[in-house]
Amino acid sequence: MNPDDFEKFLQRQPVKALPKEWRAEILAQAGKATDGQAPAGTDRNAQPWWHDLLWPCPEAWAGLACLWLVILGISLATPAAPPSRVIADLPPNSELIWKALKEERELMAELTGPQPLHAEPPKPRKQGPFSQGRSDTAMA
Amino acid sequence: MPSSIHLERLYDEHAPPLFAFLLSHTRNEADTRDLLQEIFRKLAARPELLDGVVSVRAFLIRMAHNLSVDLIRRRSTRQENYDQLAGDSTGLFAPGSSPDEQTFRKALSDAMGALPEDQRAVVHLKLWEGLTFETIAEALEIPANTAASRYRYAIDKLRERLRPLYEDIQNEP
Repeated sequence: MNPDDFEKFLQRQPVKALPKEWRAEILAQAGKATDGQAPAGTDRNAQPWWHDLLWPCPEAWAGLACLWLVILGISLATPAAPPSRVIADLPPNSELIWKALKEERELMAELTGPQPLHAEPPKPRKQGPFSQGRSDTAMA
Repeated sequence: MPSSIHLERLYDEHAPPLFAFLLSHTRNEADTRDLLQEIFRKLAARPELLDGVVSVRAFLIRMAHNLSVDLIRRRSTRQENYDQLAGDSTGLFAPGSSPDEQTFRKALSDAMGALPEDQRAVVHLKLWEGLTFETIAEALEIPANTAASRYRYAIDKLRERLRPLYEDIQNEP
């Protein structure tokens, strides 16, 4: 297949002709534009400013808006209990803590047995020069 | 403000090739009509658009191209694959006088619809408008080398796809 012949063959295929009846209407609409009038009817290109914001997927945005409305409705319909009331229902913290500490101390006492109240104090170290101490050890 | 006679002259001179180009791009006659109307509405409302324009044809093709790209982007929000749909929609060519001619034109229209939009625009302007790559480049706002390479890619695809039908027609007595 000769490339030039193929391209020339394509070129010879006539494209569809412009419908003659469009001329009058298109020129009439264009004439209205010169008078400052908006074109009527078939112009689907004019879009409100917010259209571009929602353009990528208007269905998804609408769905998200509905979901937020449902969440807001549920939130308003079921008021939560105030936190201060929950705290007031509890016994005082300090009493609970002291009771728990006391129990823990008793349990530790049972596990470890009786302990001397005071440990034997360490023997006082003999004061003196370091060399004297070493000779005492050697003599012993 | 352009006179109505000036606008009519612009229409008679440029509307037929703009129609063919827009139809090739949108593959839909109703959209083509809307876009053509939008172009002439803008020209009527803002005649200064043509002030200082060297090539009116290239300027109008650029305008048509930009409008149709916008339209297709908007439409693509509703149609997942516009190019696939394009292959099944409006034919681009006049009806043939013989069944072979008719079959080939239908196949050519489908093959054009299967091309990527940027290649289709270049092929259309080169083959059926007879524009040079420089004018096409100016109209589509792309480098001339890019226009030429898109054309070559597109012609290779068309040749590959239409080879059997083309050879049948060429081999007929």
